Amino acid sequence: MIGAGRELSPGVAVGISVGTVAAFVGAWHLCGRLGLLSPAILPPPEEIWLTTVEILDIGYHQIPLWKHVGVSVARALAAFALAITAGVPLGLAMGLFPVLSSALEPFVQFFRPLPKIALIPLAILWLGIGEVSKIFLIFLSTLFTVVVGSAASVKGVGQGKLRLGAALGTNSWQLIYHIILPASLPGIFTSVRLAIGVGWTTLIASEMVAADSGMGWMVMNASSYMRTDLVLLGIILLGVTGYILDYVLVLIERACVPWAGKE
Amino acid sequence: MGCQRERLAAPPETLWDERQGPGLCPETGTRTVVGTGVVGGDETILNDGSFGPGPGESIRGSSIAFEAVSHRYPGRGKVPGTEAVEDFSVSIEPGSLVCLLGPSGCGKSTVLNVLAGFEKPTSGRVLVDGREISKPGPDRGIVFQEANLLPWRKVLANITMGPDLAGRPKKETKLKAKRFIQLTGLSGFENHAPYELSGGMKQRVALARAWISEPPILVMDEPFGALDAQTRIDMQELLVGVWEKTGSTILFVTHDVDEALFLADRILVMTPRPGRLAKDIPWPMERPRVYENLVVNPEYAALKREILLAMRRPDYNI
Repeated sequence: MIGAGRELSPGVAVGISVGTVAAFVGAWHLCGRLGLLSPAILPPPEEIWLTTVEILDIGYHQIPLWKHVGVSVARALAAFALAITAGVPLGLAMGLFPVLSSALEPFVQFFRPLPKIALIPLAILWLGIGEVSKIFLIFLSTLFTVVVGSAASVKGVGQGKLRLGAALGTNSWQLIYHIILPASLPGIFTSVRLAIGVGWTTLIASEMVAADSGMGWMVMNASSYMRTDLVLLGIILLGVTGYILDYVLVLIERACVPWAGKE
Repeated sequence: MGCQRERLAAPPETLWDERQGPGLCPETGTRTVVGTGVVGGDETILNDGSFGPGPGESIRGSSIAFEAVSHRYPGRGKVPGTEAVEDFSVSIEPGSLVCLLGPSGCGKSTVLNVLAGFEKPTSGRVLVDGREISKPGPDRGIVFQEANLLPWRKVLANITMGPDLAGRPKKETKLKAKRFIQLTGLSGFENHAPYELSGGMKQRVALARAWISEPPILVMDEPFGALDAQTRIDMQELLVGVWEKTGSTILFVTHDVDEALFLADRILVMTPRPGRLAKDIPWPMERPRVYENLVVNPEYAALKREILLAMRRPDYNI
């Protein structure tokens, strides 16, 4: 049963996952039924379902639910796209050129662990309270993980592959394009997945910046009205959307680097 | 005769099988050739023109000269430097198959890395056809300990990578790939991913990849060390078979005395660190060599003893 690299058949794996989720929701429902949970603190699943139906019908603050989801996803995707477009080449360059790496390392390591919420006042001051400052915050929290991960992937390309390239007579560009880049791709994908996980957590923080729609804003807004059911609905939506985003990335990764982990 | 008729009756593409391997003819005690001519036991089924030039004609091997090569790995902080190779001088004839033999850590891989151009000698120099080498290049094909295949390329694309990057004409590369795929017994595996192959098959790909550029020198760093004993013998036979049909100069590093005695024209034995040349032994045993016969040959046994003594007890006076 124990073993890294050993995998269950896809049907069994999905079956077990669905089973644990169903058992969890069932237990939650039962606790509500038995009166173990105060609805104001933790509403039972059926109440959240009723809220969902209601919100789907009338929207939240005159804005349909799909729009809240869509606005958040659009902000996050815009930020991720920018972070990947800027971060992967920058990370690759840092991995390839030690001088650049030394020059930028202090900034990258300063900003990467910095809680991005601390930058909210500056973001508002510099970029205003519109979409730009929200996207900027998610962008920042994604960027540095992508940069560090991409640089590490390049530095981790095995000596054997580099020597092979030299022995085959590759020039610098051929070595980068035909050996270093493809050899780094699995690591880059992993860092992008990690970074997007981090970026998604910043969504709520970014929607604290004078937003009037979005899942993060909905959670914060509902909590000020003590609507725990709506808070939970927002949390579930955030979680499920994050899950789907990651899964889409896994599919892209499988299509682009089918050799990952197999050497 | 019986063996030959039986062999030729079978269709060639079904003959090659890793599990099956070459067989021993019970009548004559000589090797029978299976499939693509792993052993030079019988050339008749090979010289049908489909493999291009005949034995030893397609590649002109280069001469190699190590001139007082020493190599020292620098120390770091409190870690002292290591004198890996000291005053290593050897001249190697074009087209010969030379084994560099020595105990683990004796600097034989360092010698090889210097020839490949991966390491610069601290002093001394290496000449290929009289010209000093300074960096790696496609004139010296390398086969590493690990097959070192690129998992994002199929078997065929791994093999043709060198010529493709050098911008060789596609048609020429395709023909050469076909030839070396047949010689290394990889027919039918062209479109496999490297990670779908066994260890032995991976090394076949590595061999074909090194050979397709027809390098005057082939540098091999314990390429069969990680294979099981059976596959290792098959691969050694394969190597000799292809070498006899091409003609590269081969410098083959190994710690396995039997491997050296099966492959080599000449055996260079190194001392433990710092690596120096302890013995330079010509080994003109006739080819084709048959493993099963070789191991009971008295000359073989005597030389194996001499080499083992030189490797394990350098001070022992034979």
